[in-house]
Amino acid sequence: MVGGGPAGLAVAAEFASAGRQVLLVEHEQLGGSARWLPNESPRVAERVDEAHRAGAALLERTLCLGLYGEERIAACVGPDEVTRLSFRELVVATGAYDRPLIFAGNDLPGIMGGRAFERFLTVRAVPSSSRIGVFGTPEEVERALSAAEAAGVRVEWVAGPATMPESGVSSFPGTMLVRAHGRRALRAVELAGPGRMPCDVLVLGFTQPTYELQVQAGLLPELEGEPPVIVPQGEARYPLLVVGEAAGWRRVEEIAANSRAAAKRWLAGGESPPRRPPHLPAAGRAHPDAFLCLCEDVRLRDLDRAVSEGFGEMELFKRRSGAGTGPCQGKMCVCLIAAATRERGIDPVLPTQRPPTRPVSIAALAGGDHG
Amino acid sequence: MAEQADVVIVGGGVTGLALAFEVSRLVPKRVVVVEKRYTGSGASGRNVGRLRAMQLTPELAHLAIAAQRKHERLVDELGFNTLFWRAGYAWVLYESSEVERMTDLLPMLQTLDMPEPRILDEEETLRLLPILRGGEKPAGALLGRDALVHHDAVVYAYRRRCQAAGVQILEGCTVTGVRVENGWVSGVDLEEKWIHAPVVVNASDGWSREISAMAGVEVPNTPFRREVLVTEPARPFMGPAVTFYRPVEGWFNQTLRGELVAGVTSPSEPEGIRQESSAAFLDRTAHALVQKAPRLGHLRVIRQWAGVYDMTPDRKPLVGPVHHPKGFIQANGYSGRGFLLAPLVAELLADWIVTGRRPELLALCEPNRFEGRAKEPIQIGDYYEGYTRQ
Repeated sequence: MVGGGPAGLAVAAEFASAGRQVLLVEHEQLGGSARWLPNESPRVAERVDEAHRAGAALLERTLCLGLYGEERIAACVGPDEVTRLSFRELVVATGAYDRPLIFAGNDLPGIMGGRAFERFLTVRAVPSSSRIGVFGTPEEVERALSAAEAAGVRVEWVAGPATMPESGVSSFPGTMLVRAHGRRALRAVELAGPGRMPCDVLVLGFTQPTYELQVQAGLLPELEGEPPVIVPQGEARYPLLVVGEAAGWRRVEEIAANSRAAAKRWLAGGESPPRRPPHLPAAGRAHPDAFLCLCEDVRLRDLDRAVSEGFGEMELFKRRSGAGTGPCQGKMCVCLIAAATRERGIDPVLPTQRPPTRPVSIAALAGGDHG
Repeated sequence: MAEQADVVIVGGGVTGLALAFEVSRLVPKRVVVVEKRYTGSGASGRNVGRLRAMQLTPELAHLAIAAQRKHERLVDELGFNTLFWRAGYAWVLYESSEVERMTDLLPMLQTLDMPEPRILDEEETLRLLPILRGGEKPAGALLGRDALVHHDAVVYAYRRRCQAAGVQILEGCTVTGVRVENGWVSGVDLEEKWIHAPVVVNASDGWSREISAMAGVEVPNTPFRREVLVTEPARPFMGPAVTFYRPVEGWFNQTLRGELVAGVTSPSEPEGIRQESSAAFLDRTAHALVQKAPRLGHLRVIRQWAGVYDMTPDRKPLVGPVHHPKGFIQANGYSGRGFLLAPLVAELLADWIVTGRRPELLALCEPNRFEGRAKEPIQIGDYYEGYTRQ
């Protein structure tokens, strides 16, 4: 099992109780992103305990580098060693990423994703003097509001392309992000309709479920919706159960219970539960200066130039511009590039998802006792 | 109905694109490049652009030096910055027998038009390659002013020039057969059509044995996987690119973007076209790197990938027309030197195709030398042995 958040821990407990030999790896600490959520973090210890008591082996600070070849081998690197694990069934509960949005000024310091915001709040890295705006889907806006409230930080306004949850905060539903203003840091954003909204922290509430391991297990990454979200489809090479945000589930308070139910169905010989890819309405106004790839500084206008030179296909554009080849390895940008490519009339073929799933030091790969 | 071309090139890597460009520079011919996936999808796009002129035999060194000079000229010839960079190249030696071998080699390299090769002792090695400090003690090094280039930039510079010259590049097109009539090549079959052409060039490197077989030509070329890892970028931390062959074969260098690229090969790599990366590669490369250059341990690996070398029994490429069928031309079997050699080979081969006269530099690439010996096995185990058995 990969991923020790609420979804992974719930499945680990169910599987181990049913007599499955369970090994769960979590690349940070057990609890996953629930550690940053005020309503979820108090329950982490109890969930870890339950999985332990049921007999599951839980390894923290252990990264699943990737799934290799046709064999059922998962290479994992922990604090002391690298292990190649063979397995019969694979459970993926690796959560979702923050998804950036395309608009002019989208690289300004102060702009962050919802998950980053939650983390910063938990470690008290968001000054209480910050003027915070949240822009996103209703679920993500609600999540950011409750995280801010628990941390005692005030949100000035919330906005998004769809409806907005009930809150005491100025709220602008049905709008678009036109651009961000600021020189070295964010000062304000411009919303279609309401106009200029001051803020020095902008939280973007959009997600892309993780999919790398699922694709390495044999699924095909397809684009769903408009703007598109990457959703793995088809048959894996071995039994594969995907739960939680990795399956597109969104209501975080229901994820543990739903994962438990999915585990029970699976143990009874049932299928993998349905995916619910997030529906993302168009939310940012495209601008040639907007960044597609933040790691390698590739802008929308670089894509337009590549298209005019005959390098519009994703693999060609990636090699021509470096987009998607930086430290995040496309986790933030591949979905954006796919969306922009499709808008330009080119059918996006997504690049191969190569190991490792996250950056890992050469010393750790050599067994941890070097460097 | 068949389409007509003067030259069909099978393979849209650096060899195929460079040849298409060079032919179109010389004569107004209809040139078609057929590529199974996309340009550069094979070894060219899985490359690291290390251009080493220091070779173990005089004939290879001679060709390699000329090929490196050609790369140097490319910036002007293609009107595109390929990021050619004389970073320097250190062949790091760990055994005294290696030092002896290189000391014997040095006069040969010095008589050729080679920029400043020299042998370093242990102390100089550590002084000029401080990245090796704290690691396994080197016995010395052969240091040259060899170069690195950005492989994608080269491939795409050629691609752009080909497009401007009217070369037709068919991507996503698989060659299913080579047509031969009365002893002459007459074209290639694609999945949905065929292209009539009197000249067909096999520029498919890793796939070259397959394509040769389609024309009834037997060659010993055999693909072997090579793997690479790349780290996130860092400030400049090393100068010359490093290559070593003891106790295992491997290499590493910092790119102009600041990343470390590295690879350690497995002497027991099975043959075949395998482009998936392996967990064993990460393991052996990480171990070798921390042994040779412990400071590299801090860098974080962000990606690994694999490509194939098209190996021949004598490590030399096959370039030029075969005896039978007429019109079938080899440009493959680079044995790991494709990126270095391709631009020069393309220039020379284009001249050969147009004038019918073989350029002298291509003499060592005789394409028919394995006639009747196509089953000759390929030993990939030890690098030096590959050159002592000739």
